[in-house]
Amino acid sequence: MSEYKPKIVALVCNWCTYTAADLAGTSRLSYPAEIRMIRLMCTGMIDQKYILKAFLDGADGVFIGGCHPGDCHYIDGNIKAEKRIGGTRNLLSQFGFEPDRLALQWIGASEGPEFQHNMTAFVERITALGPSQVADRMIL
Amino acid sequence: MNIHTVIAGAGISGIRAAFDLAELGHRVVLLDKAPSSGGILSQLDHQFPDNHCGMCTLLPMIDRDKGPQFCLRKGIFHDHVTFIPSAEIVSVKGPAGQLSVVVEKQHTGIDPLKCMACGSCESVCPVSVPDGFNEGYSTRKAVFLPVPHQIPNHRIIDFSVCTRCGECVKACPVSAINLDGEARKLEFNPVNAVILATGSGQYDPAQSDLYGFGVLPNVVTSKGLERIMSSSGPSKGQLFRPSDNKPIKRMAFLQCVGSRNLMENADHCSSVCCMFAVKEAVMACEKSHDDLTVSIFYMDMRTFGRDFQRYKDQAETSHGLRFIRCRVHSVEPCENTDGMKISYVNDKGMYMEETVDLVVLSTGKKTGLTHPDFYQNEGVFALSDTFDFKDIGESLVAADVAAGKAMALGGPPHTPEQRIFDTQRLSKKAMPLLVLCQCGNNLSNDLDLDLIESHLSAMPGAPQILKLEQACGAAGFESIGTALTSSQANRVVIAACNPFLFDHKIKALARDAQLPDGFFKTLDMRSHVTGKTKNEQTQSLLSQIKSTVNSLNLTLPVYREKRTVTPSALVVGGGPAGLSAAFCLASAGIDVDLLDKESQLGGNGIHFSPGPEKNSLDKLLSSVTNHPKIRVHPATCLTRHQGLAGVFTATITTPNAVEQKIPHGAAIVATGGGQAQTLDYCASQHNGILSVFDLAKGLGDKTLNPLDFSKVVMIQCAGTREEPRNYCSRICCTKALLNAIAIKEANPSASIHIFYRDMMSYGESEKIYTRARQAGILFIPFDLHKKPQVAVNNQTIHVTGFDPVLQEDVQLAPDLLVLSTGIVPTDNQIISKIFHINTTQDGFLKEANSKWRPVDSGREGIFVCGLARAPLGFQEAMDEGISAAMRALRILGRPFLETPQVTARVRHSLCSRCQACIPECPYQARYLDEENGKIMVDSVSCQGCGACASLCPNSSIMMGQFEEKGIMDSIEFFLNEACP
Ligand code: SF4
Ligand code: FES
Repeated sequence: MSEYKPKIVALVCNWCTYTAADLAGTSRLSYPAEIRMIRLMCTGMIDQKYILKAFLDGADGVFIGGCHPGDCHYIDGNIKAEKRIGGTRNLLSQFGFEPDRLALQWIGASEGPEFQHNMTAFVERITALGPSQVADRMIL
Repeated sequence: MNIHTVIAGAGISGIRAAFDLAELGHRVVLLDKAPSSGGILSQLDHQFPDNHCGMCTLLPMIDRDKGPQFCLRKGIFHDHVTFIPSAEIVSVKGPAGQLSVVVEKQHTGIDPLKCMACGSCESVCPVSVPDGFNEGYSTRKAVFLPVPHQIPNHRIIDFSVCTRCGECVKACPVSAINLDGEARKLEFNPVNAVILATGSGQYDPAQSDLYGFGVLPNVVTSKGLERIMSSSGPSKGQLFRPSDNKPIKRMAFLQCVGSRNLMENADHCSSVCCMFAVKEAVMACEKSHDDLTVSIFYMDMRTFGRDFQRYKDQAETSHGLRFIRCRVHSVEPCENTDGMKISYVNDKGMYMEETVDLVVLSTGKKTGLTHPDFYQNEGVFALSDTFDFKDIGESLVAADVAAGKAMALGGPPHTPEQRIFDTQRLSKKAMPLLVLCQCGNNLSNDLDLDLIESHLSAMPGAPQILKLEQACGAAGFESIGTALTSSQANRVVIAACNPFLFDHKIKALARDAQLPDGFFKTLDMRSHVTGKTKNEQTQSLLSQIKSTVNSLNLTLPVYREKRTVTPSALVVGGGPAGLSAAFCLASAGIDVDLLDKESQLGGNGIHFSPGPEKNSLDKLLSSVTNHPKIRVHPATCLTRHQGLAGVFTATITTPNAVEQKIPHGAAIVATGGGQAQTLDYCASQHNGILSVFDLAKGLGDKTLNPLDFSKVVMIQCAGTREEPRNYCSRICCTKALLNAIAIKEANPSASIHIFYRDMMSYGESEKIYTRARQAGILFIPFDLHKKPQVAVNNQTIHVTGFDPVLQEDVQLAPDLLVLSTGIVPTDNQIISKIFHINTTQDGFLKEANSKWRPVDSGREGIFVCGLARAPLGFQEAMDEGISAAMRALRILGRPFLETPQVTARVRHSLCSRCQACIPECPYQARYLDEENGKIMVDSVSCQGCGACASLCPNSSIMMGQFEEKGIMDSIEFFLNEACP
């Protein structure tokens, strides 16, 4: 049997976390290939639907990366996101899924190493949790 | 193309001045001696007073599509700004308005047009030298990336250390390296103006042997500490002691290194170091989870910005920072450890010693700098004559003032480019063209492009594919152009390396093909392709292409609202700030309506006594009242303000109760402030007790005679810098010093005592403080818990204060007691409601961001400045007025405002008018149009953050390229990737 590779979607904001990802890329700090990154303008743009969609389509983990509180290009989009994502984590656990499959981290533009570190740690965490049941159970 | 202004220095001030002019439609050349942009900011991840970044907030908010939307730390990109790194102005000749500017551009060894940033050269370079970006705490090669996160990210060669071994030349796969080039001269002619924003540089503490810098490894500068703590620094964000990488338990900041030191000929305060130190102390405490003791050794904590005192107090209470008032006289190494012994005499006169792990030197500005010889030329404007350090907000204001002077030299009116679109082509169903660059076959090892091609052809809405050997060259772009003419493609995706380099070219392609810029997308094939194996990488790229093509297919042509701007402004308040704002606008050809609730213009300035300040105010007053473009409405109140940026309407009530409507495009609120009253210190119980401002006025207009006073006591911070008025009023200390000197000079036998908490004589005012001490004025510091006591008995004033040096009380019976009561804003309650803008807890008008948007209110088109916003000096208030006018001109200076590509739009058929989105918008861009019963978006204020879209329960909001469907599809693509 081949080694388990989780499917992970990362939704990142254009201004900070994407810049950090860029920096990680140009500094050759490689991060796990399992990550599929989608750039949005701001974490405040992230609709709960996107997160649920990812889980229903078989994601084992969803990672959300935005600017540090106070650094958001749109003043407080990240604070709004934090509330919303807290709600989504509750929802996941109410339905019996591991809330830790959904993570929110602040990664600033110059934090290339943090980006790499966070991504690696998240993949490890999801690998330890194993395949997500969300998609299977919701279909049944 | 005509260059309007050449700006030397691409730090934040230079960038701001460049954007100011660019937003007025002018072309600007911005250059820097350094190989990168951002100045010192490129090395600082966080800045006081909120310990955040937010540099991107500096990017244009109106007409955002003139540059790509990304972090400003990466570089400067704007259609009207050309950034030239490693360049300096060598000569400026000719009259203002027609200058000839010669620039010398260093040869940096690598041809940016050929380089693909692979880094092979760096890996073979045998040289290793300390890295300046990390202040020497790491090493770099002779060929290196000056700032790791910056783009273009091709390396440069530091020829001062290069051995010319030629290894890099051999290693470069594209022959981009030339070791023998020479500096080039570029000439710009005619140029309207030159702005010097070259900054000042930091004092080098190795100059002095007092602190052991350069000898003891654990003595660092504040900038050094910044790098040590930075994520892009030597220890990747961990706080370690440089000598042995051990954690730090005790840290000491020594303030005023290289500043406020007569022996070093540095009779100035560097203004920012106190706050800088507090910020770093807080960051260090946070990094070490407060397992750290930080002591700050200082003479005066100069927290003179509006929010700085509370910031410092907060830092003190939440992290237990120790503030010790003294001058440290030596730093010595401890025996057998890497620690250091600091010895000093404390405020009680006792000799003390302390051991610490790290000493941070708060180094001030460099001294002995000189201006270039063309500095005095007409048309050349320097940001600072004295190379002052300024905080970010002040730097931006200074930049606006310089840009204002450059603007005043004329230039073509702003004529936005009129674009023609091929509506027929656009109305057809989406037909994407995908350009796949093979990077001269360099990518074939990592990516299987054929496989990608075959997979894509199977996708719905499959793109037509154009494979190019090298997309970035001229030939590459020509083939894309040809492909566009010969096909019906109406969307383009270019997958290549370093696609940001294409921005200009892509815009040209879009123009030729008569398609919107937003229908062209680039995809970075190098830095965003993940995975280690060829298979993984191919898969990663494939899904990214699919997602990009798909979301572009879903993007519909945007209806671009063109809002015609009312080219006139409303200025509320006729004090120094309002007057200078009005004059700046009128000089730019804008009609101004200037309101003042008083019948006489001048604000606080009408109390000025003869002197340079009065002269300059009088001059301003007469220019304003005589200006044909300015209509003054004295004794008039504003009663209503409605509308959107560019098309506001104000309702005013004239003295004879007539209502009048004034249409305008932008409004400036400069309602001013005045001196505060205090009940402390028996303020109203004796006519020998005056405020610092009243004394200044009395001395100025000679109603008070210095010879009448033999014993004078002054008490600073009377009723301020403690709750509830916990802010510094910035100007009282200097005023008190000037008063004291005036009395002492006229009456040398008078004794003058000044009780103070921290003397806020920042910047060049330090010289006044020095003069006061030399004149024999006595200064006694006090703490909040040991304030001087004042009593009035039998018509005599008694002051008792504690003298920390003598360690005993001093009793004084002055015939004059002067209280520095500070400044309060005028009551802004009503005005803030009328304009829907915020106030601070102290009643000042609140700016959108004290660092990055110091005069913008939270609403586009409305600006705040002067004493109504913060305590300021006279000149500072006038400068803020100009700054506000320059911001207003971004709107007023253009004929119409156009909707940018990414903005929110409402599908009214889906909208249930729940109004949940209205309070959610951070820019107040949403409103209910009561007439039509529709929720509307002000497309000029909207910045496209999507907060409303993600909240809408009916999915009724469209976000251009960030359409819900596109994002949902992308998620699907990524998760259902078929393994190629
Ligand atoms: S909340 Fe909506 S309307 Fe307001 S800025 Fe963000 S996208 Fe624009
Ligand atoms: S822009 Fe980064 S979180 Fe809002």
